[in-house]
Amino acid sequence: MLLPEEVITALRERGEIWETAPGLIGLRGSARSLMETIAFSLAELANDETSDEWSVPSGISFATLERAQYFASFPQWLTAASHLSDDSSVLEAIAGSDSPGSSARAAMQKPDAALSPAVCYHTYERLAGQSVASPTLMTAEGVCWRHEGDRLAPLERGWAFRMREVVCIGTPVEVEEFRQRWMVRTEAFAESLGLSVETVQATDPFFAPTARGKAVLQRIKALKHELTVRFPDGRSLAIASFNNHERFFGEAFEISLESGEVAASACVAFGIERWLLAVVAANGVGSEDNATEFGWSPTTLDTIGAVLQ
Amino acid sequence: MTRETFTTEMVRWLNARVAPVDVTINADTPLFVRGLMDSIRVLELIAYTEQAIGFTIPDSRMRMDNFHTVARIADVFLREAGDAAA
Repeated sequence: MLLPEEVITALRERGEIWETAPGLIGLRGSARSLMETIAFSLAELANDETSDEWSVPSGISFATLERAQYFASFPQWLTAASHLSDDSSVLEAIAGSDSPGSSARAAMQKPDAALSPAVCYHTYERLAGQSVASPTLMTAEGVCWRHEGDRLAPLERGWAFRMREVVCIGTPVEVEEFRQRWMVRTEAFAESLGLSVETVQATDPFFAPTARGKAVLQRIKALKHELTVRFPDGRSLAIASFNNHERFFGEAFEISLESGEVAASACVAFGIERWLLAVVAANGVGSEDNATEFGWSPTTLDTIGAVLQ
Repeated sequence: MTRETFTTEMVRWLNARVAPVDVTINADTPLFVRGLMDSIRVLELIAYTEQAIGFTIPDSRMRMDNFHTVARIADVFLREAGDAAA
């Protein structure tokens, strides 16, 4: 098992990864191919359980985030979507400025939308005020934005990153069964890729001042688990999370079941760049000569190839 | 503090502080159903328990099987408090 820094150094030397800004990366070559294959395999895994694949918007309104109490829970991550004024005199001044980037920054409009911080909020927004069959499942992959300050690191913790989610809306029993089932399925899938993983209880990094109370409730009720990989220096990294929201989103978005009761929900989320990092760290980065195959042994390639079809 | 005293006082406190008007909490009432506990009340419950037993409860002990009911809290944490004092 390699360290994340060793993986990044090797991929950077091969020109397969680059950063345009902290937390914003580009990929090409075998790293890109492997990530696409992993993303496809996670989609297949999700589609085994639901064929309702959504394409979600890349942004989300502040109104929806307010309804989801996002500003009370995770305001530290929010990345807004803004734009310039449509006033032609302002645009002309920017276009003619010696430093148009600075001029544009000063002229940005106050935002009413954010770049999506998670995929599943779109589900609750879309189903708001509706009565749904129980259970209702959907899946989607989207780019999520979470600004984590100086903790940003390539593949490990992106400002923007790809997330595959599967969401279940149903009774409390149904959503917890869904979550438990996915913990088992995901662990088996990870092990089939040569990953040594552990499913552990976890809490979300809620924003103070209500952080401890929310985290304690989450811990006592065992509402969140993460699938983690451990690197040689002892660091662990969550590559998937399994979350039971109880009736929080059902109440917030007035989603009910056909029985009339308020819907409960759960979601499972996969950080796709982290899966790429974990798979490469576990199996090796290879050399420049055989970079397209990561230098993996035929046995490793056969095993992984059978899973990542 | 005896188990009986701890239980009686915690039940009285919960009914005064937490219980909705149409609910009466007793020693065997599940505390984490029907929205009895929110993120503020759970901290108050833990603070109350920690003050009564005299030590801080580590995160690893924050489990449903330890906090399910007042009777369970008494069974788990009063015994630990007794062990610590012994």
